[in-house]
Amino acid sequence: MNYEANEIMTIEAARRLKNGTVCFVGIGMPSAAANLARLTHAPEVVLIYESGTIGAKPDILPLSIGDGELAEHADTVVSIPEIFRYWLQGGRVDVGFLGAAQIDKFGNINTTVIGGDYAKPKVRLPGAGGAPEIASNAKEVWIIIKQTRRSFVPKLDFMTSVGHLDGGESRARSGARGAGPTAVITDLGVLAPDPVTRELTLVAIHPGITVEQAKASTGWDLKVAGTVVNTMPPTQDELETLRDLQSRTARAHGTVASE
Amino acid sequence: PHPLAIEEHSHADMAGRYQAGASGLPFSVLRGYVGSDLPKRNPNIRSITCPFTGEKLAATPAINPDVTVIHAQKADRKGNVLITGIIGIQKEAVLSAKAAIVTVEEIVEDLQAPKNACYLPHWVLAAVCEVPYGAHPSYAHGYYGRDNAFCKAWDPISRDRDAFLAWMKRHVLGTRDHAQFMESAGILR
Repeated sequence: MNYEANEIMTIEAARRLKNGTVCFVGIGMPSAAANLARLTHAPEVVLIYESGTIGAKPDILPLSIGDGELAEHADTVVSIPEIFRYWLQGGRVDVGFLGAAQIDKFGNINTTVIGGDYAKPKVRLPGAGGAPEIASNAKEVWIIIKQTRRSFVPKLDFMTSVGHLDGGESRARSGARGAGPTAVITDLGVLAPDPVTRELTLVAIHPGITVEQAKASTGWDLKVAGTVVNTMPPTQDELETLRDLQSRTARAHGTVASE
Repeated sequence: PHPLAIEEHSHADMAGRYQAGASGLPFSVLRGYVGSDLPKRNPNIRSITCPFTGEKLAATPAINPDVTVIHAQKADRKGNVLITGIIGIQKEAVLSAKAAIVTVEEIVEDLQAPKNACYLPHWVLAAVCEVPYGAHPSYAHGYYGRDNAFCKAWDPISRDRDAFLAWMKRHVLGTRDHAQFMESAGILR
C-alpha cells in the first residue's frame, strides 16, 4: 500500500505509545497519533487532554481540547486547575506529546510567533497553550513536526517551551523537571538527543528517505548517528485505521456537528 | 477601532490565576515558564523563591474580574446552577469575580445534582438567565454540538471591518434577544 509522508509520521509516533502509558496529548498531529495508538496496539493507553479529560477515548479527532467528544467516554473529567496541578505538575504524566511550528537543535520549540518582532510578528501562532508546563513537568516529551528548513531553524523566533535549553546539563540546572524531549518524529524520520550534548541526532529515516534529504531539510548542520536505521513501513491495519479515523473526523467536522 | 492590550500567559498559568482570585489570594504559584521567552515579554510573569526549599517558581497576579459571564446546562427555580461535561475553569471564573451571570439552556424543578457535581449555589450569582442555544457557535454538552459551519463563515466576516460592523448592527444590535438574533442570522436550531 502506498502512503503519504505525514501518514508514516503519525504511524511511527503512534507505535511508540504503550498500554498504560499516561500521555498528555496536544491538539493536532499528537492527537491523531495518540488515538491511532489507542485504536491499534495500545487500547489501554491513558490519554489526557488539558481540558481535564482523563482516559479520553474520542471516536473522532477533536478540533480543540474543549470538544465534548473528549468527555463523552473519558474515565473522568476534572477541572483545568486540577489537570495542571495534580496530574501534570504532580508528576503523573509519562509522555507530553507536543507539536510545534519551529524547533531548534536542542529540542526547544516555538508556538508563539514567526518573525523577530513579538509585537508585530509575520505570523501569530496559536500561542503557548499548555505546552510550557507540559515541557517542564512531563517525565519525557515527544515532538511531532514536519521537517523543513522553515521548521528546523538554527535559532527560534520565540522560545515558547523548553527542550534541552542550551544543551548539556542546562535543562537539569534550569529547574525544569523530566527528561525533556527524548524523540522528535518527523515526516522524514526520527531524531533523538545526544546523551551528552543533547543535540538532536538523526537516528532513523522512513523507507525511501535518504540521510541527505534529512540534512537538506534542516536549517543547521544536522548531526547523524553512526548507524541510521529504517523505520518500518506502515501495515495495512495501521493505514486503514488512521484513514478511517481521519475520514470519520472530516465528516463530523465538515458539517454541523450535532449532538 | 481601539487596539486591544494583549498580555500573554500560558494556559496552566491562567487557570492558576483564576484559582488564586477565587481563593482571595494576591498571586498564583506555578512550576512554569522555565526557559520560556514569555516572562521577557510580560512583566506580570515574575518569580518567587520558595521560603522552605529555595526553589525558584513562577508567580503571577490573581485575576478578579469585575463581571464573569458563563454558560451552563441547567438551573433550578432558585437559581442554583449545575455544570456537566467539561467544566474547565467555570467555577473559578465565577468565584473570582465581583459579580457573575450565568446563562443556562433550561430551568428545571430539580437539578438532581450529585453531591460532588460542579454546582454553583444561587447566593454566589448575580443573575441566572434562561438562554437556550446560549453557547452557540460552541456546544452545550448534552444539548447541541458545535456549529463548525458558522465558525468557518464567521472568519471572513470578522476579518473585514465593514462586514463586521454591518453584521453586528443587523443581527446583534438590531435584535431583541438571543432567539431573535439566531433567527436573523439564519442559525438553525
